[in-house]
Amino acid sequence: MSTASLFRNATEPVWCDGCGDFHVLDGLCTAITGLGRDPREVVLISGIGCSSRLPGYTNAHGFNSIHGRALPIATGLKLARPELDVIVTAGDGDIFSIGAAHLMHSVRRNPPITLFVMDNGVYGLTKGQQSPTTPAGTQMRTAAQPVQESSVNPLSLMLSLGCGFIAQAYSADQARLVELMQQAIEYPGFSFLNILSPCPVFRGGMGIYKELRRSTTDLQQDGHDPQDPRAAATLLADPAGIPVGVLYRR
Amino acid sequence: MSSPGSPPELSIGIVGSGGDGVVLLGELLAQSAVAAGLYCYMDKVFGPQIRGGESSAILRISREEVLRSADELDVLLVLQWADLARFSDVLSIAGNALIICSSEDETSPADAGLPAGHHGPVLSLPLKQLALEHGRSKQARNMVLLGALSGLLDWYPEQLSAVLERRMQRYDERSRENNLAAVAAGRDALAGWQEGPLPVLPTADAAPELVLASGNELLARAALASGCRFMAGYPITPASEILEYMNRRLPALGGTCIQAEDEIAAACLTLGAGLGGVRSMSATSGPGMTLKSETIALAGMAGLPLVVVDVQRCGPSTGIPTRTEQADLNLALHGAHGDSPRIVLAAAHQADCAELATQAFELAGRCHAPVILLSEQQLAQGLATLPAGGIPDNTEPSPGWPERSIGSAVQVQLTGLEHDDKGRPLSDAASHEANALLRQARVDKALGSVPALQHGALEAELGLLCWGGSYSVSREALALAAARGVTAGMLCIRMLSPLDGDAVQAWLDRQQSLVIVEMNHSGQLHDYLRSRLDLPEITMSLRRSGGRPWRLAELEEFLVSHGLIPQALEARS
Repeated sequence: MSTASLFRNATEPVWCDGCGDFHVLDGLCTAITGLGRDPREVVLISGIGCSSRLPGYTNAHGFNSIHGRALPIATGLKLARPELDVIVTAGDGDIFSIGAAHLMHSVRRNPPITLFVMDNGVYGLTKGQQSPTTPAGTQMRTAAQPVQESSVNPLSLMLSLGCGFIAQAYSADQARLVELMQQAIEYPGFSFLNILSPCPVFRGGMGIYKELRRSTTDLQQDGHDPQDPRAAATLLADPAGIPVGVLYRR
Repeated sequence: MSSPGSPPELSIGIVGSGGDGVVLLGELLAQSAVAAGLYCYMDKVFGPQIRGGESSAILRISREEVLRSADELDVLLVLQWADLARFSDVLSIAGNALIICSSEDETSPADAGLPAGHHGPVLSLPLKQLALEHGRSKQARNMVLLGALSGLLDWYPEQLSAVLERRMQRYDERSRENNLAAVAAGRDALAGWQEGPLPVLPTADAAPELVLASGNELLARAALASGCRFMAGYPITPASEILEYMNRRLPALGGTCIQAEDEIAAACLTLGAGLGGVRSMSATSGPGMTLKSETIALAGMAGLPLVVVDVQRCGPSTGIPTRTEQADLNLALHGAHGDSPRIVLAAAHQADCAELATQAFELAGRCHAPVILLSEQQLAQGLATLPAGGIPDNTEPSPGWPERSIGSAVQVQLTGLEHDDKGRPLSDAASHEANALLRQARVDKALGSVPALQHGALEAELGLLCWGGSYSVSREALALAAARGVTAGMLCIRMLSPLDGDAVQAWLDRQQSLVIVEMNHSGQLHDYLRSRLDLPEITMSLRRSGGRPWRLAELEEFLVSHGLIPQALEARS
């Protein structure tokens, strides 16, 4: 029995086979228990989407709220109960689309909460519509035309907003995911971790894992200095691949 | 003692442009009258632009409690005639009204809409010149007017100078001197005027200790006294004063006040704080209420306490943001998707804003349900007089919401999905039905805890039924009916949901005829009651859109024209 099982409850997730969110759930359980947190001192707040069912699969306190609004609910809770670890687990639709306004202002208010975006670049719960992080030109199964709009780059967005902790992880790289989750949770301000968590059913098939493994590049192995905002900006302007690791830490 | 024949009360209107200090002038007059032991009511009516544009204050001063402004003005102070035209629907000027205005005005009183029948004295002063000369600024015109009026009417000299002194504390020495010089110049300018009828002010026999407060201030103070330690809001007229007040007070009480990025975030921040066991609220107006409706439904689904104040203004859409209306009843009662029961309270007058805010917190905590508290621009920004002890002032440590459980040993899982008692999602029809019952039952726990205000005869020829700010004019109509020999009663429903149907029906059954009074176009209370209760055979809906406060004359005309009360006798012999 792994230590993570202290945090994980017996409920069977509704996620499809091959969903990246399984890895995120495993990673979160390991990260929290690794930090020695009591599950009852942790509150997971989510919005709506496949990813937002995550709180219900844990022994932490959880609130699966409404679409896009996890951040202000979490902020209100944290201000009321500063002793709790408050973590938002949400999807790219929640955070970069319907609830996008709250992201900027959460960064401005800088409450010590953690945001894990489970970014699959698709609306999975509603079966395959484009999301703000779907690359332009992608042919979605629900659309007549390939995606016309340019996509949001979560890292560039957060850097421009002035977020104090910006990182990206890949769900299938469990060890690195856990490490980055722990750093984000321990960060004393608002922290952001974008987790590439594939949806093979509605975007890219199982081949997407192979593609991500090939195209991700670890920032810290590449000698990136996370304290340097200019280096972060330069890196994003001319990426060698999909960056994983801490992009910026103030 | 007032002299024989002196009016029982006095009504004063002030008009000018935003930034002219109209409201300040009104407040100085009101505060000094209240300090002298008189009751004062002051409406603030603004043009649609909120900042800039025209501005007016309407005062009514009386030896008895007054809850609304009078139908007609006895005195009119005009900073700019052009602004009067924009208030012609609100200000009705008595034929013999005393008018003090500027002699430098380019607009003539007639062009500004002064009724041709006006035959009272019109005193004009070089307001601007006196302001510049003595007050060292054009801005001091309101002080010149204050001096002119207070000289003519011998306006509570002792109280006025104390009120002025207190007000000037925030100014530097020089501005203080300039303002006082402007007041003196106004007083001197009219010192020689000795003709025509002057309305004589009533004075108090034994001065009770009274204070002046707006509905918004009273509501905010009652929220603090009820243990509210968190507020999130978004600036919106006419609710902003609540946010501003809480912002000044909460930090010192260990609380938090946040100006959110939008109305939705304000509701969600409030809900989140409530989830953590902290008593919290958000306040808004109609447009903000529509944005908050998804969060209100979530509170109902998750069984969380949530207090949301809706200070109504003219809608729909941006409407007339500065003017009063009672048209959000449908929104408050039904504004959500699905079956989404909630507790809905509506304040009847300024002191009731405090009373019902206290109730709102008690009920949200006890029922674990959303509570919507309806106020109105007129109550929210208008000033009323209360006994000095009538303002809630308790700042004891907050008890929080009862049964706060997040962070305790028992796991809390909540969701907006239909769910079982452990917060696990469900999708079977039987559970959905059972939970709908449960959500209604939570709200029904509040049944009967906020009784309606009942006045006059119980068994009546004429029953007046109202809600919210229509209370004050209905009470005066009740007195009018009684004075004309009609047995009349009235009921003002303060808890609209859950509706205490049995109690209201019992009252209705004793009315021979019924008039439902409300300030909205569609008759929202009328329709609501008709759908739930048996209304008397003779039931009439007296309603109109907002935009200006009720006049007693409107009710009188309605009641007379429908044969419900006799016409006033033209001359008593």
